[in-house]
Amino acid sequence: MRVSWQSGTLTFRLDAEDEITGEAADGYPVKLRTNSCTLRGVPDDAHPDLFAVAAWTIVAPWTRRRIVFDRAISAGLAEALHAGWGIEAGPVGAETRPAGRTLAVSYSGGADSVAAAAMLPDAPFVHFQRVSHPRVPNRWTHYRADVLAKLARETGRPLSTVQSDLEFTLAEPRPGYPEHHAVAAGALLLADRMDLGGLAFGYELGSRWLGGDRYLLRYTPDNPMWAPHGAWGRLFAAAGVHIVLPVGGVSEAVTMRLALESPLKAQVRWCLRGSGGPCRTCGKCLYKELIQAAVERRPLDTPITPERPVARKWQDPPPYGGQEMIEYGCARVPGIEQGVFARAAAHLGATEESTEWLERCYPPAIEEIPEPWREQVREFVVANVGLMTPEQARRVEEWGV
Amino acid sequence: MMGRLTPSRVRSWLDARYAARIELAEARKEIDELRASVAELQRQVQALSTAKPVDQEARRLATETAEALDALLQNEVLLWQAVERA
Repeated sequence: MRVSWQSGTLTFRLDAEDEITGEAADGYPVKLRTNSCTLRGVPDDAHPDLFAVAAWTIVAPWTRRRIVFDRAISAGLAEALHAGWGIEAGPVGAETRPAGRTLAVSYSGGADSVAAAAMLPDAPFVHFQRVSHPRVPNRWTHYRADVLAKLARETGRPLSTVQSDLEFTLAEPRPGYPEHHAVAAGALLLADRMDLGGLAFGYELGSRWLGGDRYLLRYTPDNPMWAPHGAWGRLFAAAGVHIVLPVGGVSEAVTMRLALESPLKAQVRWCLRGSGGPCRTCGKCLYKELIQAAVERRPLDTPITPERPVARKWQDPPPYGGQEMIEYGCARVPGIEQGVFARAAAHLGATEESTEWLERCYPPAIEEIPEPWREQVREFVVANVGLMTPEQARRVEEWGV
Repeated sequence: MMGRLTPSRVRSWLDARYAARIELAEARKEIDELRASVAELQRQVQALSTAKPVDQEARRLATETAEALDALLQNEVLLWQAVERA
């Protein structure tokens, strides 16, 4: 792979052994569409390691053996690429970028990143906004990135919005981040200007420790995407921007509660489709409605019926992505025996007692937060959430085993 | 008979007039056909904005065009890879 940056435009060319099919770090199969993309409003003069990591978030799935950057990187960054992926990277010749002092929040506006923001009231936001790609007809106009960007502005926090078409470099399964970390490409290029030493993501207990979403669905202490000692954690650290997961030890029930109690409550939006409010009809709205109803201890309020395609997976037996939250919701929502989640609830047989651990924080998640920000997060968690008992922590460690 | 009675100059003038008249008639016919097809296109465009089946047809064409473009973009990547391998 050979990559070059011209201002904010990244162009890459495949070497003989590279392919337009590959896997993201979570093992999900992906396919390339096109080999250029642009990040708007980013500086030209960021440290070369920042350009390199930003590029790697976009080209990693297609690269097989080596990568050549258009500017020399540090030896430490080349070593992190080799240790993490077995990739030879060069040319080598730059000084290491020391970590800065500021922690920014990679802010999407969903409940998880709002909860992370609530823990870090002084942290500036970096928001990624999808824009169209000049070479790809936009067939996904239901995705309202403009609405999410407007809500981010309304938070009143110091905000850098980076507009980019990088998601359109991905053809399959659909436009999206080639690697989950591509959401941070703009923040990486802004890292020198913002003096960043860390970037906080809203990845919670399920994503970090339970192999949630499209990942393994089992306890993942060595999660390659989000563990500090994983391939991506070491790569970001080598560029002086640590991956920080303030809500990495708490479930989506806790992030939901913290978001709804937060000063940013009016700006919370997990739905990517609605313009005047959440659409209430997409799969994500249904999943989050279950969690919100459980947190508020009220019946489910949804127009979705079991026959609808978005509800189909809940008619099948487990395992489910985010299953811990389905258990949590089914154990707490009154009247769950009827409607969309009736079958899932019967399969799971969860109780309030069996899901109590999802209301506390898994302590090792705090220990892996880098030292400059650890105590601040610990204090917030102890005051507002509480730590899991050893027995509850075992529920995390035995998940899916 | 005519060939013998009329001088060749007059005959060629008559021939030219006859040919011109046919050309004119053909041109008129062509214009009429064009006018009809423009009217038909206009009707289709108007129908596109109102009638549902035609709208779906346009959507199908748009989707297939975009998918074809995806394949073209992927081919471009592979072609550059082949060029630089050589």
